Amino acid sequence: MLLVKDALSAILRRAVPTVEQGTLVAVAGMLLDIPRRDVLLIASTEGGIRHLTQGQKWVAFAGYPLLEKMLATEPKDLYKFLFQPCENASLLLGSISSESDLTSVLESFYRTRFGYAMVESADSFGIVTLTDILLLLEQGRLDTDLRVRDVASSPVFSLPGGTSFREALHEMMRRRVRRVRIEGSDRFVSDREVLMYIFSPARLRMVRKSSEVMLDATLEEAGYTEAIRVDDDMKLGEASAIIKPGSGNCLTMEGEGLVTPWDLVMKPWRTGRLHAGGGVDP
Amino acid sequence: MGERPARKSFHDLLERLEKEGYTVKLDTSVVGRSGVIHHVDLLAEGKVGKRAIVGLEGRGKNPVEEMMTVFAIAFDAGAEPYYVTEGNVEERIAEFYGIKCVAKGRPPLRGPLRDGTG
Repeated sequence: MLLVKDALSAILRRAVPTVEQGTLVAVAGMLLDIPRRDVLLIASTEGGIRHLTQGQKWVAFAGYPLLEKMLATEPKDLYKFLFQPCENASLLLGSISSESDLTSVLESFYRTRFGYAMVESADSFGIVTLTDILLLLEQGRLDTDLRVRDVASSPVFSLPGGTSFREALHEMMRRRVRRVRIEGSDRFVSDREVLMYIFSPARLRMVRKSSEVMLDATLEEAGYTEAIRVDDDMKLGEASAIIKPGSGNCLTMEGEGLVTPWDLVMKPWRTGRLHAGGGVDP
Repeated sequence: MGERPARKSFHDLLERLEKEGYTVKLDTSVVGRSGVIHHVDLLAEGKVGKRAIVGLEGRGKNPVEEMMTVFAIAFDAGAEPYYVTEGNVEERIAEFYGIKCVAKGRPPLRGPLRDGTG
């Protein structure tokens, strides 16, 4: 398998999305979408930027754990929760050495069930995401003989459009999935669409009057992404190229079956069918 | 293609607020509906409970983060959000969140807009 420092050297050079310690949960939640990002590291800015750590772990703010915390919060306290400092809704991220091989990154994804991980070298650090791994597949630096049909999930987890966020999120978290299909459609609502809707000015105005309604909105009220239909014989590298970074897209095939970025990367790896390819360097 | 109309200046905004009977306080704090005490660069309070909160650009955060902070604090405080900037802020974001951008124009009022937690 490739070494992280060779396959993903760019991540150690790019800016690390960061939010200042003390930033309100509402603000950090909105910042996750401008532009769309999976995770923000939390940093103190007293006397220069210093990213927060606890032990060997990095303190971070991310959408899925934020929703988990909101679900665990009493509905009457949800409004107050939005105005807490974002570190109250943080998670801890372990890091992987850039000298490790890519398997360490995938193991971390699998262990945490999040599609992101911290990578550290002697003098730098960065966040690697599933999108970075998809790019390696697209470029042929990772390869697999599997086809789209081999990694598709079926049946597709679906709920009626009238399902409340609270109910849908409970079920999504129980199943550890990020997307739900609205029954009878090709529309998918992910945790990101739920967050975007919750933090939209119109919804916030309602919540200001009554905290309890925050998670009472229904799936059909949220934004959605439409799955892109692909041939079930498509190679995973080609399928990776279709999912644009940050788009939140997923793929479906004729008949039943959903393919997410997670499926494209993690299923070949878990079945021992993901290996270094001969593609060009990124 | 038409040019974007020039932004009102911060000076104009202050003048208007004072003319409309607002009491203006600089570098102060306000309690939001959440119960959290927020520190703000400028708070203007009118006679009938109307409020405006103004955030100044340039406290080290990126402008989008500053605008979001002004929006959230103003929202919690039941105030109109204003953001004073010289830069090319994301007009689309300002419009979506109902943030009114004004130009610095004159003198550099600086203060700590902090999203404090009380």
